[in-house]
This record gives sequence, structure tokens and C-alpha cells, in this order.
Amino acid sequence: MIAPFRVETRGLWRSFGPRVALRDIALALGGGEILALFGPNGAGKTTLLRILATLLRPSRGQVLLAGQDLSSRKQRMTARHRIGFLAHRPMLYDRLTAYENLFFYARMYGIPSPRDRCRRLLFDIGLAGREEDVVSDYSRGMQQRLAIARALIHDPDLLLLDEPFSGLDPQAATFLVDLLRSLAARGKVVVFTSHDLGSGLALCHRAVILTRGTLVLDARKDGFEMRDFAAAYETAVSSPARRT
Amino acid sequence: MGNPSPMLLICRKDLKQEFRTRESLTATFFFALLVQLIFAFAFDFLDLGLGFADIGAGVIWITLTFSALLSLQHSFLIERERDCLQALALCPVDPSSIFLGKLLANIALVLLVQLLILPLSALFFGYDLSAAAVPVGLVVVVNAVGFSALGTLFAAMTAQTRRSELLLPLLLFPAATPLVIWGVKATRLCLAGRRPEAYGYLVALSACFDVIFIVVGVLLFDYILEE
Repeated sequence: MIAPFRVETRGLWRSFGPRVALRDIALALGGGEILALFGPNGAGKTTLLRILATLLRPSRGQVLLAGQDLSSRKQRMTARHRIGFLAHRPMLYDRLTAYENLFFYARMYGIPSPRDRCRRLLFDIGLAGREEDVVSDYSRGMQQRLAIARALIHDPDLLLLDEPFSGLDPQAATFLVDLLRSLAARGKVVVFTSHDLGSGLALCHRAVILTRGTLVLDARKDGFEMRDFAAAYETAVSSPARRT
Repeated sequence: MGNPSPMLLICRKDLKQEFRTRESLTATFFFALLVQLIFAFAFDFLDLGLGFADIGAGVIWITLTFSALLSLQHSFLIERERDCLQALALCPVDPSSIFLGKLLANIALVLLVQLLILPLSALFFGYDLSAAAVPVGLVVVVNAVGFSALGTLFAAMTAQTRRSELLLPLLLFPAATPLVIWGVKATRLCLAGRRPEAYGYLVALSACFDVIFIVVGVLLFDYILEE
């Protein structure tokens, strides 16, 4: 029997010179879970996502993906087949068409039948018919949808999204919510950052608050009320970092 | 259909972008043309009793060096614009193949500009390049590979910094000095019609430089991408 997919961080620290961006982060996520990361600017949300994405190495501590410690270069490279990352910026080439962008990444990931995969994704994200337009001609929302397709091109088990709803119109936001739920239903782990407590809490199964690099609250959605979480968030953001 | 190597995919992607807009090629070509024009007007070397064989090497290498810098700078700007370098770093491929792919595209673009500029140089200065075309071409190719290897490495290192446009020449020019010196000397000997034995060691030194910096790039690129 194949063990369910799992992501874990143990005693994770990250410093940039004298500034500590993450302090002793311990998280464990199981397949099918959607985690929302909340926190003010500079709290360490993006740093945590970048470490999970293998783009940054932790200063101390471990990241385990499906039980594999990602401290070695070889394991990080293997793990990248299972990780999808959507950053603040879309990571797309402006001068290439939507199809060329997806096709390039599909081949970089060594996907079998890349043409079919690209066509299907373009259809799924509602860009079929516009796939031969260069990305610079796309609106912000269309670029964000294409960026989501890029992050999903290799059908990752762990999807990391940094402010995924920024720039999306309500229709595209609804599409993204449905998409992330369907991914979780297929056993994928979804981690996203958000400043919007309302829409973030509506989507997630579990929510975490980070302030000044410290995890100050880690709660399951069925264990708290929206009003209580909002109050906890306000307290965490306005008070010095502490662990609860 | 077999999947081509990531190196070729990256090279093809870079060339496709460049040939679609010709942003870098056009700018680099016109810059090189202007440098040639300035030299042609600034130094009336025929009145000084000098021939192209005397100063041509200097003119060619100053033009090549500065125009190649423009081309190399652009190569990582297109990756930085939308954080595409991060997307490349996320791909499950050996980081050295990213370096080699970018390098291959840079060499192709640098050589393309030189291919257009060299005959123009000869034309501006009234020199018949046909006799020296092959040896000069060889010197340019060997040195362009080394310059591109060094430039690709430094362009990647400086791409994430705020002052990358300023930092790249500050790092690249001192490090590429030996290559430029060997290139100028070898080109001068070629233009003077000397036999290959006279400049062969200079080309060999440049080739060693190429190998060293390609290996350094292959070994270091992983660290450049991750941090």
C-alpha cells in the first residue's frame, strides 16, 4: 500500500545575515489538506514557501517530503517533480505565447505527451483560443491563470501558492477555489498565503498565523470560529512574537 | 517524440524570444556600429601612416567586448523580469544544464553580432579581410566562448541584485582581461598575415580559459540559483 503523501518541517530556522526570518517552525501536513498561512508583511510566509519549494535552504532544521529529507541536493532535485510553486510574479516569459510557455515547462519537467497536457490545461483554465497570444498581451488575471497552469503542469503533490488570489477577477477566483478543492480531494497538499482572512479561511482546512518568523497559531478550521480567529490574528499581529 | 535535453530547451527558448523581438540583437548591432563609426572618425589612422593591421585588432576587440556585454546583460534580464529564473530553478533538472543552455544561446547571439560587425569593420577601414578571415574568425570564436562563459556566470550572479547593470561590467571586465589581451594579440598577428605558429599559443591559452570557466560555471551554478 502506498503511504499517503506527507510534508513536514522540523525545527526550521532561516536567517538572512543578522535578521531571523523563520524561528523553529514545526508543521506536518497530510495529503488532502489545505493550509492557509496568514501574517503581516515580513512575517516569513514567503520565506517558508520558498524553503518548502526547495528554492531556499533552511539555516537549521529539516524539511521532509514523503519521508525524504530534502537536505541533499539530489533529494531536492528529485522532490521538484512533486512540488508546484506559484509566486508573487507569474514566472512566465512575456515574449512567448501561452502555449509556448506551458510547452517549455512541460518539457523541462519531462512530461509524457506534453502537447496534450498543455492543451488540456489551457482549456481547463479558460485560455483555449488565446493560447497563441504572447503573454505580454494578456491581462493580469489571464497571466495569473496561466501562472497557475504553469505551477500545475507536472501535476504536483504539493502546491505552494503565494497570494494566489491577487489580480484575479471574482470568476477566476471562484475557479481557483474550485480547482484547489479538487486538488485536495485528489490527495494533494495545498499551502497558500493570504492577507484576506475571509476568503482564506473559507478555502482552508487549517490555518496558521506567522508573525516575525514565529508560528503563533496553528488551528484546524473545524476547531475555531471565524470571529475568534480574526481576534487571534489581530492580537498576534499587534503583540510581540510568542508561541501558543 | 524524444525529449530534448534541458540545455537545448533553454537555448532554443532564449533564441526564440530573441528572434521574435530582436531587442538585444538590434541594440547590440547598432551599438557596435556606432563604436566603429566613432573609431573611424576619431582616429584618422591613414594620415598617421598606420594600417588596419596596426590598430584593427584594438578596434575589433573594443567593439566585441562592449557589444557582447550588452548581449550578456539582456540574457538574464529576461529571466529576472518575471522571476523566471526561479521557475527554472524549480525544474527537476541539473542546474548545470541551465547554465549550459544560457551559455549556448549567449555564444550564438554574441557570434551573430560579431559575424555582422567584422566585415563592417573591414569596410569602414578599407581593409581586405578575406585573407585573414579564417584565422581572425577562429580567434573571435574561441574568445567569444570564454567571454560568454564568464559573462553568463556573472550575469546570473548579479541578476538578483538591484544594480546588476553596474555590477556586471565591474566584475566581468577585470576577470576577462587576460582573454581580451590574448584576443587582441592574436588578432593583430592574424591581420599582419603571420603564420599560425606565431599566434597558436594565444588561441590555446584562450581555449584553456574557456574550459576553466565553463567548468567553474557548471560547478557553481547550483549555488547561484539556490541562494
